[in-house]
Amino acid sequence: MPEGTEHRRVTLTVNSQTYEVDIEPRRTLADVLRDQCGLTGTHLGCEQGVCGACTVLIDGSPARSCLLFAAGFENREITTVEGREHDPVLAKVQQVIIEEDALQCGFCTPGFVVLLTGLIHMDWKGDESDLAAAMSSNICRCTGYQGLMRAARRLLEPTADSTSDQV
Amino acid sequence: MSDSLIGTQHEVVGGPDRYVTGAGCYIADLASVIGEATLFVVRSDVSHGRLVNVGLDEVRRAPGVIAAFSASDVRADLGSVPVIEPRISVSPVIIPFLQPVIAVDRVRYVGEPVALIVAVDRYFAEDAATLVELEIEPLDSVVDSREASGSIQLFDLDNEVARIESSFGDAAAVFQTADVVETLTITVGRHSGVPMETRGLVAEPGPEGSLTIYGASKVVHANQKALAGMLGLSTESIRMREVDVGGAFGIRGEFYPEDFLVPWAAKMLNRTVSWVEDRREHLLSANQSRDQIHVASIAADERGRLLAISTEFWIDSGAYIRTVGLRVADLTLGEIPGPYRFESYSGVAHCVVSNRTPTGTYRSPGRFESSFVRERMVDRVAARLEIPGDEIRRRNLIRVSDMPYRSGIRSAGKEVVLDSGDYVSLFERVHGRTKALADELQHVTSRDESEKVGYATGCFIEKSGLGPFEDAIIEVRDDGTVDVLTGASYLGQGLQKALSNVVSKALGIPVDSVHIVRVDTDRIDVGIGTYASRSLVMSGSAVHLACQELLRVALELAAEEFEVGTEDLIYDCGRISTRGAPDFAMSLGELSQRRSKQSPMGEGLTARARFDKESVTYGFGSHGAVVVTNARTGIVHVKHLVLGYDAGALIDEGVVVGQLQGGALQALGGALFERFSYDNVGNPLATTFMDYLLPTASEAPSMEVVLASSMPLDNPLKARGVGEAGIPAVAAAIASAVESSLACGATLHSTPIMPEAVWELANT
Ligand code: FES
Ligand code: FES
Repeated sequence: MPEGTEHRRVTLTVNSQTYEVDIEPRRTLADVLRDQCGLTGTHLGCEQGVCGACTVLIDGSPARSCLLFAAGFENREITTVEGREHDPVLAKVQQVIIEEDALQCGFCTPGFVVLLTGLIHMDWKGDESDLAAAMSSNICRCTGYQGLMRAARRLLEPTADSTSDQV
Repeated sequence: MSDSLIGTQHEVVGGPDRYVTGAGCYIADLASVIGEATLFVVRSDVSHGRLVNVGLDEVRRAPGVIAAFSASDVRADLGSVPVIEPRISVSPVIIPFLQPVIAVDRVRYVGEPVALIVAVDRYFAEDAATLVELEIEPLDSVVDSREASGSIQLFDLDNEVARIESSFGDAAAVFQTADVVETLTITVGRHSGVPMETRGLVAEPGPEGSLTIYGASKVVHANQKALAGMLGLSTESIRMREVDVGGAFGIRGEFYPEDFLVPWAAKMLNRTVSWVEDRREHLLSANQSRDQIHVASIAADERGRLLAISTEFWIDSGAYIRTVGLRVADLTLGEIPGPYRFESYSGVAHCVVSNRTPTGTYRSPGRFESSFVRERMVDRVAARLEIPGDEIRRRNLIRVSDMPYRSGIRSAGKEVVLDSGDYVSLFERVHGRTKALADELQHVTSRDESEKVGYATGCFIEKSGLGPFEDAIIEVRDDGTVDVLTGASYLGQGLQKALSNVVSKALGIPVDSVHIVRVDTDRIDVGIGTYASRSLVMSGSAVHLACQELLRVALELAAEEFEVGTEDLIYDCGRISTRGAPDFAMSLGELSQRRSKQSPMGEGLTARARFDKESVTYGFGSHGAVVVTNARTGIVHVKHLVLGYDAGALIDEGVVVGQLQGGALQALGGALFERFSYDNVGNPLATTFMDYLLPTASEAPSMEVVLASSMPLDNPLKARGVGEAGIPAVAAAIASAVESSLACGATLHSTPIMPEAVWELANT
């Protein structure tokens, strides 16, 4: 960091591990996870809050780490795609994504893995079109979503409802 | 340092477990891990202007800045500012329109590089960028491609770069006398690949002026040569390496200004420099595509026999002609008649420049456009004659008995010869399935009455397997597993799975024993690359031949070893044994160890082969769409797509299905949502994902794949490429399905099909 830059020591808890980082207040959580913590599984697809590639869990709920400042997340529990040891749900989601052939280039995959993990933690409920809406938090450019939706259905079992055929 | 940058496990294309756990190594990950100097490109915020001054003094004094450069520094180093040469479709007329690697005295689009800042990281580079004294004297902008021959010029030349023609038969005469002639102006909007991973590069200087470039893709060897030429280095002194790629779709991996600027800065500073663009930069500066306005006509007789088709179209190339030259115009011209028996055709393309981002090839170039135009025109005939669209198609598709079918048309410099496939039967399967899905949907009773179901099917010809050649090298490791190298680029498209299957089948070894190695010019010195759906056919065939060669060499070695003739040897699943003497056996791994002990350079068992081919592998396809149109809002929801393609022999069905579905959703995006719009002075309006709308899971229809498998004879795998076959007729089928839902004629004429156009159709 260049001379005279304002910075402070911040302690982050990521995947049950403690990271002490010396950062400027303006650094986003995504950048700190990637550049300071070495957790490059959290991807940046837009840094505009739209694509969801940067999704992490904050205390179990999905959040877009490109829009958050890292310095505000001391004493919170952060989970990234690398956290399968610390969160068995993550490992399960990863397995189902593989089984359903839900990826091609893999760039969006961490975001979807974490999103689905978060939805399971939040005890998400809804019908098929709600599920598509929930999955629309993130963007995949390769697969056409067929495998991702199969994986989501398996993991979240949408409720059948009379209107689900409706358009 | 090179080898420490990429863990050795990343030289091999990963399996899904790498990507689901976040262990992939994309270019930004490499840049992050090495944490070295970051390059930031300062870009023009004016669409057209004279570049008067680029002042960098204050920038150079800013915190965290290592260096800053403008065109004058490039000129001081190299004597001139290089332009980016075309890789294909080379023609003298385009020379004045090529892009300099950094703007010299004129800027021509918003996003054009004007200066470089190298800093400790991107935060400080962006801070410093606010200190650039950039003086641009604005000029009027060219924004309408059909008026591009007007008074404002981008290059002090006419803005029309070229006028290209293609024809067969005497279309003019047919139009004079035909029973029915229909004419329509059709616009195909500007959209592009927009991979989820933005572009990036890492350039690392080595001994004696050498450079290693990470992040290469698509046409790695061509770019190696281009860069070497620009920097005045020998090709061998540049090593290009691929890392994980987050989607490419034809646009990633072409030679862009940054492909020069990043290595050049690394060389100037003699330190590793990385560059990763942000999304806004991507949307401003990576190749855009499509963007054509056609005035098309079609002639038919009263029974619906199609006689002639013609189009005069304007293709907006953006501010410069980039690496693919005039290829998109050429491909569009070559594909207009498509799979129908037209007697005559006439096409004229006007390639023009404008003050918009330059363009290039995006997945299915020329086919999305030509199929939209052709199928719209076929629907016009159907509407005019009150014959169903499927019936018109059925009557006019090229038949097996017409093959080999040669209309005389050329595409990408080669005659189009349609030599295999039963078009009518695949069309019937796709159409039947589409209709059945629509009928099912009709029976859902709970629908709002303003919601109308419609369906339609379009047809296309898809090209794949473009030559001229590709090489493959197979190297057996001591443990009997094999490394496979080709010139193909692994873009996240599943090619590695398909190639692993080819090897596994040819050598009888498990798929897990096959390591597909990423392109590294130090390990494979020639290659063409991955585009035009060529890699399965070209690299796949080369791999197939290399496996055969490997077996031949292995048998010879074993014969020497056991002192028997090769005819006494049996090869089975990675093991060679001697007939009648089962103890005399050796695995491929053992043979390789033996070989490396004997050979002077220590190389083990390896084989290399080349697959050449002149022909283009053509295949037929048909896409069906079932839509629900809301007549009150004009919103179209595509419920089903049926994707039919004659893929030939299936190397890996999962990959084929994935490619067709992924492509189809991109086409759906282009059909309904995606648009690079510009204001009337050339300012781009789609610079975020809030404005450039990509389809999400909510917009994704269910997608069924219907495959035919007539075998093309021009490659040993008997396969057709499938990378682009999900795209061509999707937009056309959606347009027609919307009209069918509203029971109106064929009048939709633009992509993206906007709700206001549909609303108008429903309410007039
Ligand atoms: S990178 Fe955060 S939403 Fe796209
Ligand atoms: S797999 Fe490539 S973006 Fe989703």
